[in-house]
Amino acid sequence: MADISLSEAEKRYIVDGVKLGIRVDGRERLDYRQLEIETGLVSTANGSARVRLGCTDVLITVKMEMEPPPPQQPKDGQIHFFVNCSANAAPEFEGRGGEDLATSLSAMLDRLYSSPLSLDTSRLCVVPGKHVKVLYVDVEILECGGNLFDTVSLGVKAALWATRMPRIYITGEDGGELEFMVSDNPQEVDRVDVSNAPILITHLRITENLTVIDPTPEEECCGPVQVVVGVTPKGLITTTQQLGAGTFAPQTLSASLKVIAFYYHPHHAHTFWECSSLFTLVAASGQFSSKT
Amino acid sequence: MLWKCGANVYEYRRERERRFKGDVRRVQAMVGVQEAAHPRLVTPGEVISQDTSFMRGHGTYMEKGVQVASVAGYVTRVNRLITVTPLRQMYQGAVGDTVVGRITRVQTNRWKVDVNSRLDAELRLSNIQLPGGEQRRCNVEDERDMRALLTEGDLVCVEVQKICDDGLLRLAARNIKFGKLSQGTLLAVSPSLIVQDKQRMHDLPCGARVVFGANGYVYITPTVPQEQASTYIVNFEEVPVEVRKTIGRLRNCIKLLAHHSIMISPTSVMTAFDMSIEQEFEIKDLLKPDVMQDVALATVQSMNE
Amino acid sequence: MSGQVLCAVKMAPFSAPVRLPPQPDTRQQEMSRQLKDALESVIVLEKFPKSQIDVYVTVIEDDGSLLGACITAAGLALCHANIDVYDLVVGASVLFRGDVLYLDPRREEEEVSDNNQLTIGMIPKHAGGQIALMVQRSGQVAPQCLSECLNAAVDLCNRLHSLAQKTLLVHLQETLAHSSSSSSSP
Repeated sequence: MADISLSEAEKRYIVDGVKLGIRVDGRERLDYRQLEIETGLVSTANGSARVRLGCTDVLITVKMEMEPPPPQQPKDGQIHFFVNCSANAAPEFEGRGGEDLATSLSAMLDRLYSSPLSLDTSRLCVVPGKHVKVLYVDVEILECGGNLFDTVSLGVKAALWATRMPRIYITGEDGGELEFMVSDNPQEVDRVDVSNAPILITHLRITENLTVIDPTPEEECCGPVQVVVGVTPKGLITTTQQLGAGTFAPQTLSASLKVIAFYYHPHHAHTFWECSSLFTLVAASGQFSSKT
Repeated sequence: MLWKCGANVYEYRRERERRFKGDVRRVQAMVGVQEAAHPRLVTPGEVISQDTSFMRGHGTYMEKGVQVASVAGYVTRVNRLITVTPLRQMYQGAVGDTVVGRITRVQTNRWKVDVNSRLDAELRLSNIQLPGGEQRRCNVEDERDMRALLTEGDLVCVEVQKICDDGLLRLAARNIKFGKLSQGTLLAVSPSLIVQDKQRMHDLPCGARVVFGANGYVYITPTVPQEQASTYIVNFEEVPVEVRKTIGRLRNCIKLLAHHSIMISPTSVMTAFDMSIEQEFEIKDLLKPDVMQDVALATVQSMNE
Repeated sequence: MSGQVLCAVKMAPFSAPVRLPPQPDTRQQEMSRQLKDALESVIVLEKFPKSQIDVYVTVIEDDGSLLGACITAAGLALCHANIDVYDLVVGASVLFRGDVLYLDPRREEEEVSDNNQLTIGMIPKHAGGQIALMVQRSGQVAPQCLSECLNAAVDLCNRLHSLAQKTLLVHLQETLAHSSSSSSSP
């Protein structure tokens, strides 16, 4: 994503490394970099998360609002994604430079959460046909260090997990208008069920039929084409999208999909799907508090 | 993997304090020669000296005969000259420095080179040693084939020949040791972290060559057995796994030194390298913050002994 | 600098049962981007330095498998425009619900909820068959199953490819016959 140009020699070094199974920073093809997730940083939002993966740094906030639902889905709440690629992240995002990336990111997130199996939007309904909760998810790219799609999707899931919506009581009716009371008790909160929410895993094609996951910007420079796959905790694939100018052999694509299954295989769960254990861990420690 | 939740604010504060201490330590190491225990740190607008007899250096300005700092940093005094050096800055350039740069543009009879400075530096065709003889003059054909020598994205190791009035650096590669860099990996650190040294290219005992560019660009590449005939032909042979492991470990070691604000020199890099092997860390382990900290501390301790 | 590709997929306001607003919505923008990705890997861009190839697709009627149809149409149009491509690009879509696989689904079939749709753009004859674009829309499916769908879509692409080839050949022959008859008559 970031604009860097490498010399042929550097590219050769990266590509050969992938062939030999040792990447420039010592990782193997399917190793992730150090991942840090922090939740509850923004006090003005209902939920927030900051994710750092290598140099990549994103901040995600969730805000809840009450709105009338669209007529075709009177009983479903909504979730909207907005991505902002500001010049903070990379100089080439200046002006409208980051718009393309931002729209493809938000389109990807839209698709990831469009299925009721990923996120049950009917639970966001307050009064059918009148009032539903709408979740606005704002993604701020702070630094671009490769593998943006994965990082953003992890952050969105973490931010949704951390979202606390004050409980709403209907107290009465006044001339057809409903009256609400919003609980100000910090214990009386509704949460979003993210137990089935998917995340994205990107495979970057480096050479012929070899892919790497979690590429650095230098590696992204060597491989023009990547396939982004949305996966649920159960190891089911929700969405797939090939990005960039380049082609995959069908066998490579199938192999990439199977690798993703590997990541979610119960025996290998500790390698990656600690995401859910993060959530249980933080919840169990009871230390969760918003940053003040 | 390390997970952090909101409650770990304290950990951040600790880390920040630690980094600050690292900065101070680094500054102490840097100015240890000139000043005694603690360097004086100033902020912009702060009066450095009321004494009018001092000369005004970089990072300062005069107001009503009083010398005031214009950047935040530490004060250095050489005889009557006072300068303020910021801790992190872009590369300023000094004549004779060996730097690593990346070609950004090819123009008529010169290349534009990114050397982590405010302006892209300039490398003239007449300032490089052309293949096929020391004393050859460049002609129109050379000018036409400039891309064959160096093209956009290529990395070069060059020397600063001159600093123009507007701060533009003019580079030169009139020597067999300069020229295009072959396979390897580039790291960018703050230029102030690089230890001043005459010798910039080091064939480290672990079996890799490291170019510590004065501009903060560090290039790690496999050791070349003997000097190649031409410095503009790149070897595309596959680098064996063992060498890659060494390079990868060096890369991560330099990264962790930079992250912990430890001065980067062949000694410190080799110490960190040995420490990481001694403590039996795998190369990819060195990407984890706690491991990075362990190795950094061990390096500092071992170097102080 | 090699050539650039610009793609714009525009759905006519009357192409769907509900009237579409004239300005492109997110779906159209997304399709334009996806089509661009597919065509960029198919066109021999080195042959078009410093130039831009504009591909405009207007959807007159949407009866399902839209993206696949756009890719096939754009691929044939590129051939008609004599633009160098590695191979004739074709697009195909498969839909899978439970254990049932629908090749080339209709719009009514697409609109049923809890189904998965996979669209690929492919150059079947180049380097043993290469996938230029793969898009799977919402749903939940096991990787094994998705691989099977991919194979089905690849098969479909192969069939479409021979059909597209035939169409192109017929077109070429007709043009040839036309030009030879017109050149001999005057």
